[in-house]
Amino acid sequence: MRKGTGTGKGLKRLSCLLGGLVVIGMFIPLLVVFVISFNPGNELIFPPHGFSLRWYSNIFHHASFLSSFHFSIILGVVATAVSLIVGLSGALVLTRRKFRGADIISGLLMSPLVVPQVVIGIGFLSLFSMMHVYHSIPSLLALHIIITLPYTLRVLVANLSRCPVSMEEAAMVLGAGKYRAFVETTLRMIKPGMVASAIFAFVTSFDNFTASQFLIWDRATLPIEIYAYITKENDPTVAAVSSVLILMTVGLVILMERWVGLETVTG
Amino acid sequence: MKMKNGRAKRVLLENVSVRYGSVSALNNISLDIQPGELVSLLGPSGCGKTTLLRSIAGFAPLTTGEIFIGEEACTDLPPSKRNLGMVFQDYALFPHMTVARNVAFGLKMRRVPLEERHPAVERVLALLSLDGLEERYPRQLSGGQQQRVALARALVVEPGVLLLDEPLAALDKKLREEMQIELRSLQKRIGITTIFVTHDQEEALTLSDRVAVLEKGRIVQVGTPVEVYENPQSKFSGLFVGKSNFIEGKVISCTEGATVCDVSGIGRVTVKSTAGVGTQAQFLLRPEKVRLSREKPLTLERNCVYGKVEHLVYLGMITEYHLETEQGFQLVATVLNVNQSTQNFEIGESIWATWSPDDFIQVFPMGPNG
Repeated sequence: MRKGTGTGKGLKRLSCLLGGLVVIGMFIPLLVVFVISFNPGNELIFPPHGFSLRWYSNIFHHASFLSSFHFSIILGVVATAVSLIVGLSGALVLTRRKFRGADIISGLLMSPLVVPQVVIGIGFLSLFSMMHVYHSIPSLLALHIIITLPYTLRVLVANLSRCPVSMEEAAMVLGAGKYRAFVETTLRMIKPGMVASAIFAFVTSFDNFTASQFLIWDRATLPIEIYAYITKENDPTVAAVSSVLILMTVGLVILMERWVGLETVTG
Repeated sequence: MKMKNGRAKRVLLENVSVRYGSVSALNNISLDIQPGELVSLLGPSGCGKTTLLRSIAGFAPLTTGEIFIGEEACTDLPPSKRNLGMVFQDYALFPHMTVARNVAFGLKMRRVPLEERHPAVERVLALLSLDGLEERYPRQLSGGQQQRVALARALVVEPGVLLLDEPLAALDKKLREEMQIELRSLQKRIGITTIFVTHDQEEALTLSDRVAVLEKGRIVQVGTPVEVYENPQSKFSGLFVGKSNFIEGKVISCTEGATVCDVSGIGRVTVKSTAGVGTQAQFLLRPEKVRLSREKPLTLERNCVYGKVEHLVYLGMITEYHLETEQGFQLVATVLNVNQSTQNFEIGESIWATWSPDDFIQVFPMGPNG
């Protein structure tokens, strides 16, 4: 008995240790980037020899950072909006209608999660070349809708499967039209899921590098601009940009937690 | 909250059929429900009772037939335009709304002004003893309270007809029995036409003015609880409502209104039936109509068999005796345990069982017209 408890305690300690190591492993690079961004010199050195905000102000002297940031935001917002609408329709069909092949369709829609990003990128590149579309905006938009869809779909399916159809029917018997009944009951109930999947989709789009780099013709997204910069320059501007992005992401996660609670995401 | 008499609507179903592809869910159903009446749709799962209720609500489009609510043909009206109240099996309360907002929902959809909504909600909550729970959310209520809120939400709009889809099925037995009585008295007080779906025959008998027994998408019998129980017209209604003995016999003569049958070993029995001479007939006998005794009864008016007690089940109020008769059929008889000295028969003992020929009811596989 006592021996058993001892083993249990040992296991618990070990798992705490491993968990701690993982957390440290995840956060150290972020912390390093964050600290480096305050370097006064023009080298990526850790630890920095002093404190300066000059690389933050340097961001604003590079028009390419600002314009690609702007582009990434617009791209993310539009891709998220479309992905939400498509994801909601898809999730409604998958949860409310029983039809043959539902599993296959659901699997196909989720496939961008498992297909390597490089493959997706090359696929899109060949497709758009075939169609003679050599513009970043339409091709990146299409790509980002596809790669964000698994997130919106997954979260919304989980949310919708907890909303019985009888609730909409009850609203209809009480005098609501079909559309009104949906808005008043189901849509209200999945609102947290909508917010959560929107944030997920936006972050996925905003961060995407691997697949997006194949479709850069006339405009670049921010991650690609950062990469291009670091291949030419070696100053901490990229660290400053990255720190801004980290803060932004943290802000979004905090917002999500505040509004909807993280558990709605995992379903 | 007593409704004006004009409010309670008649519901008329004319040759209603619902088919899904090649599967027939409802088959030519006709039923006339009077204003203020409570009719149960009774049957096992898959018999079509819920489909019938949903077609009245407008959720299951008819393949053929017409539905009238009041004077209005509403076969093609959407659910929102039928002015119905409905309680779902899972109550379908809106989890993101308080009790008060749940109940007020129908009024809001009907564009009832805000200042009139509040008193109406208060009245119906008081009627269902829910006062004080206005600001609770459904998840904070007990099953019984949720059930009442669902009922309040359905009633507040003063619907012409109330549809109940197994509303008590999720409650435990004791609460369910309380709610049955409460529901019935409420329904009578308001005087609302009510259609009640259930698979529980006891519940149907307790609540209803009339019971419609459904089998495989057809109505096999409609009648008062007494009619359905005492005079089941098909083997199915006899089997589904209450417990029954089924005994085979052969028709040997048939005069007007009276048929003499020879039932193996029991002898000649006169029953009301129009079965042809020479045909096999099946009879139903309720266990509580059978009288048991140790001495051979002297009466000639009663049918009489001799049999051995194979098995007995003590159920508190009654004891159920399973006899193997000399004639070779099984007979179940129940004895009310009036007092502790009520005669007890032992397993293995041979006793006499008698019953009045009036209680011997001929039943048909699919109803008298089947």
